[in-house]
Amino acid sequence: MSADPTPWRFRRLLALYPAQWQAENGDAMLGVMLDAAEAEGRTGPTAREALSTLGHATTQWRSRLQACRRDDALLRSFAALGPAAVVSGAVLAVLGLGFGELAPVLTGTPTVWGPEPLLGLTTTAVLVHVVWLVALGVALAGRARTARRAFAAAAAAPALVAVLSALTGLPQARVGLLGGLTVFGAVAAVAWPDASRRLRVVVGAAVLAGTATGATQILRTAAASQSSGTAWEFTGHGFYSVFGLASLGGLATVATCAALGLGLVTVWNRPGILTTAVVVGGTWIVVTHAGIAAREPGAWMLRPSDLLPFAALLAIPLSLGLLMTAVRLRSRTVRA
Amino acid sequence: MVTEMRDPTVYLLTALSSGPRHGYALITEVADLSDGRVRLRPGTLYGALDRLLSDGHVAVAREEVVDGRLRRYYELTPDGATVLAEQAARLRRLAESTTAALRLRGATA
Repeated sequence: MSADPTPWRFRRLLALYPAQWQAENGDAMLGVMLDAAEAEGRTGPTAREALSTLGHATTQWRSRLQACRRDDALLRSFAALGPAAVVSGAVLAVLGLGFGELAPVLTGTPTVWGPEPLLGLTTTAVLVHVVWLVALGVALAGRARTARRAFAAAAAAPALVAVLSALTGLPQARVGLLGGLTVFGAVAAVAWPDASRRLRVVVGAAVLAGTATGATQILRTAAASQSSGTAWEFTGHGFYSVFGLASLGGLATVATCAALGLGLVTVWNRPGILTTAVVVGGTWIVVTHAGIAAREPGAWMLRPSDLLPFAALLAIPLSLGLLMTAVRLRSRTVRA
Repeated sequence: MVTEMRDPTVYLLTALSSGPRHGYALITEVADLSDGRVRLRPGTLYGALDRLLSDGHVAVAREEVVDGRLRRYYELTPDGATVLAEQAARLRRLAESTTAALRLRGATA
């Protein structure tokens, strides 16, 4: 028995395709499907027909996304994040070195309990700050290739510091600050379009290694606190007391670094993943670390005076990226 | 060196070698040429046509509307004819060497 095919049932399949492909080929393909259905006495598509259409539509989307990836305003603006991340990271490194490491020594008011390692400096984070400033110096000297490697080292340094802290008795670094520097270093290292795949993989692997170490530290400290019955501290520093949201801050930092490292290692050619890691993770770091100066157990507050400097530092590369996107989209529209 | 083409693609080029065909005619022609072994679905057909169009082996000849349905006709380009001839020669060589090997096997058995 023959029946007239129902066009809308076939049109539903065409909805799987990108709009441009639909506009160019949709009617012709619909004609083919209707001819085939009429000849076979069907009113709708078969499962095999639907599967083959889905497969072809997927191919179309993939090739379209690959084309977009090469020529997308987001990708190009992401490249602009490189210099912005360098500036932000350098500012953060200078502030960290000055206020976090040197000032406590100079003023005689250490911020970390216990013996001070590294020739009087307060935490292992000083290594990260120094690496950052060296990278900045190389970049200012105009040695692009060396600078890129130096920024890769700047992204990997927090991971190495985390390992160092875990394996030795040295006071652990400020994780929030290092998280920011990791993000900035990684963005600076990969944002150049010609950064090699090997470099990205090395940076990503280092970040993941640091993340794993950080996560291990959290679990180990948590286990120790449960056995001792006392509230545990994430870094052994009052600023990172787990009272209030401090524990979330530590977890957020680890999660951010994990997303970033995973993005670099696996889907390094997808700037959207990295941008998301920076935006979401950076925001998490800001929100969860800015107001953790808890005066007493169980209390925490989000003070604008704590929030603003961190937010400003993280906002620099992001707002520059958005600005570049807007400018490029505008120029594209004007050309069109 | 001749790049190996998949059977459905070779059948498509073969179907177009006798003149322009529209999409559904290509499906039926390929089924006939392959004795029903290759049954192209619309997604497979358009996947192959996309590749052949972008490689310049096939071109759109014309379009017409029949019973309210758009029919787009495709034709073989000179480049496509050359490629099809190369594929035919490749398959002939393959068949010859296979037949010779089987003959040798029969003689030694």
